Amino acid sequence: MLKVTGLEKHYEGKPLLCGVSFTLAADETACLLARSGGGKSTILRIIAGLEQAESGQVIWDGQDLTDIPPHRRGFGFMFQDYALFPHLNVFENVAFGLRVQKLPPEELRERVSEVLEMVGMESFYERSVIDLSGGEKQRIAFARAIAPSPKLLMLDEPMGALDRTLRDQLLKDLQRLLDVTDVPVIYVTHDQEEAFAVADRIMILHDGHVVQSGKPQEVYSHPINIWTASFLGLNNQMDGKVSSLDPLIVDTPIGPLHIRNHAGGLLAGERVDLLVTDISVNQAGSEAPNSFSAEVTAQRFLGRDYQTSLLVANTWNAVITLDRFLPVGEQILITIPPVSIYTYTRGETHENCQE
Amino acid sequence: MASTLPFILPTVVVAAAFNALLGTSGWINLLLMRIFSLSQPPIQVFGTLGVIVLAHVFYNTSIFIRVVGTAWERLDPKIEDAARILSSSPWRTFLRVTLPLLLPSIVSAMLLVFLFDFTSFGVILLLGGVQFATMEVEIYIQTTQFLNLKLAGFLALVQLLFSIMITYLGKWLDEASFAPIMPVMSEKGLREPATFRKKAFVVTMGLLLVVIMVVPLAALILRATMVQTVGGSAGAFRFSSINFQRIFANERDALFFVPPFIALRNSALYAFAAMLIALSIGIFIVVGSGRSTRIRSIMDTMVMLPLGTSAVTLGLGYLIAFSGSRAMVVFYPFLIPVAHSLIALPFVVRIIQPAINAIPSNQHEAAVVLGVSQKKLWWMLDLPIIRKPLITAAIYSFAISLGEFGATTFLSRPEIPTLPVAIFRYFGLPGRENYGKALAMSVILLAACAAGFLIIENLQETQGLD
Repeated sequence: MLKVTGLEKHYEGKPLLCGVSFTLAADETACLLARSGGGKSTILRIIAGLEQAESGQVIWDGQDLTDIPPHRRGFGFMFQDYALFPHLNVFENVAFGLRVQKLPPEELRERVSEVLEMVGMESFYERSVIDLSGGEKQRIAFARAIAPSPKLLMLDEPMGALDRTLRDQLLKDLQRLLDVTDVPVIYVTHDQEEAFAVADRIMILHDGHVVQSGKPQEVYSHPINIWTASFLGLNNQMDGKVSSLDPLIVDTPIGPLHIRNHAGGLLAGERVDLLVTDISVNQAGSEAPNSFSAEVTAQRFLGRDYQTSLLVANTWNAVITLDRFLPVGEQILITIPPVSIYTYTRGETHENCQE
Repeated sequence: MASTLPFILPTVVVAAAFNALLGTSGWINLLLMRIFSLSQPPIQVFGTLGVIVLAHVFYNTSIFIRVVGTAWERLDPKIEDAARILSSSPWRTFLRVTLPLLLPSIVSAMLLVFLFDFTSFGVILLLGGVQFATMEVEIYIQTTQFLNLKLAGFLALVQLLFSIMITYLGKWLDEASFAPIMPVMSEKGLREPATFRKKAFVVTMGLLLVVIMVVPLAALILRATMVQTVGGSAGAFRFSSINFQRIFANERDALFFVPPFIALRNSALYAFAAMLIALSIGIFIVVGSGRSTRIRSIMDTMVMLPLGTSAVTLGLGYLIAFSGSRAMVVFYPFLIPVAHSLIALPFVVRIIQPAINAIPSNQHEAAVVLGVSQKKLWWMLDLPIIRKPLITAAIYSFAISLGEFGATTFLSRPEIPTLPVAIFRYFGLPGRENYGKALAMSVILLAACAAGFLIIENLQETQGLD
């Protein structure tokens, strides 16, 4: 359906997008995840036709859209701060795109009620959009975007302007809405939780490229590089040096680690970054490989679980989630499962944009 | 934006500029005489509706650009983007979204323009349009020529009533506009013209602006700094400072035995005094009304009244209040600066108030907790924060006083003229020398205002937080 190839764009003299490419299938909800200022909104604006890329193409059903102005593309867009028309009431805001289509009044009224009902705002017809709360504005903005039945729906940080509790509620609603509207969706956010909640597929944007694309579970459990791991909040990392290839053993500050999880391509003696995705706390007396002594350095109550900081083998700081309380200073034994260690060769950062 | 310069230009300068361009000794006539070897100036625009309208367009365009342009700049471009994505063509987007959103500012600019032209005085008087007299000019004529203070007073009352009505209408419109809900974005709404058509449009409008704004002022400056070489009216021109030298020459035969530079000195002194008075009262009002919304709304109306009232009405009021009394003798030196400061006051308050209100109250609380006494707050916190707006307000009030003509015509004595009054008189006198002096003085006034304007623009650019 949608195919984006090699988008490039500079912003204030600096490269912002350096060859962004991806495709989007019908019915797919893809989430573009990046840090603030990473250019994700710009990608949406280019797809919508609001901005022109310096090079690259946006292709819809085989047709190059470069010369099609935004109002002829038939896409839907929900802006971060909603951009509702302040001079129009709720009904007219939602009807705006339908009026352009010259829908007969009956049909128009019907369609507006339909989408307003969908977002649970059917009693707001005559209300001025100025008086709406943030959550209400968001619903109206969504209704306005989907009312003309767009071929593609783009959401630019739709939760950005809302507070946390409201966000959780609206995220559920939005998930439901995206399920019932069977249009392809590109959802842009910097919040990984949000991305995991709504997306069928996650695309991580870094240094002007899509560095990783895949199902949320895949991306989370197999970050493609150490930057992505950190970005996803996976911070149990350390560096090491390959001491043996078969079996794979890496020397680390806490001692040699056995790893049973590698795709190959490593050299003996090579320096690598390690990501540890799981750490288990042992029952006393366990003699499994990769077992270490650790000291509890901090405990944070999360509501049900505890986020526990550990100092492993007196050198490595790691954080794990436990279901029980351990006093600070407690000595415990931990095991790092050999399947839960990922190796990343050094300097495997993506090539930068050409200036 | 340079288009705001005319806004603070004194009426006499504008009139002088149009005189230098279109007057009997103005450029266009001189050029036509030369090309067609005429002995008489072919164009007689003085006292015609055309030149009066043209001079007002000069003022009004800047008001319009200022008011509507500011609103447009603040319009979030995403609102237009949203319309475009909802399949609305650029033209339709303009009609259905942009225009409705700008409507309040357009109406408010129209009201402002109406008010300014309604109370227009100096331009009409100086461009010889007595038969097109506005109420202001009529008040002036009734007062100074027929000494009919009763009729003048009645006209002033009617005028006042009208002005207040329009001012209130404007205020009501302001509140009814979408301004508060529109996201305030300074200059984010500005976009580069992208396509050739857009660029062509921008260039055309720019040229049009240059014609309306720059040409008259350039004509004034060149007419004042160039003299005809000997050899008749159709002769060539050369640069000369003779007109400026004449201002400072102490000619005993000068008008009322007052050399022009005395008028310059008088104006500077008055302007300085008016500035001090306006600033003191302005600060007092802004700080005094504080954050209480009710007091502020009452104060607002009171302070803004002089803006609605015309300078002529103000001058007449002062004249009636003080004339013939002993007080006149004592107060006379203060009358003009006080009247000027009253005219400048609305501007001063409007400039300082937002700056003071923008100081978050927790900033005061933070300072108090850190051990600053309430008394010191003003000196340690508020004053440094509003330093730049204060300078802006000072320049504004100085420039307003320097160029004030309406009220001054009622209050100035023949032997103590101000610069605009002297310019008016010299334009009324026959002779090339007097014409030259009037032009030179206008250029000085223009230069002073332009300098002030440049400083203000510079201050606003370097303004950190806002």
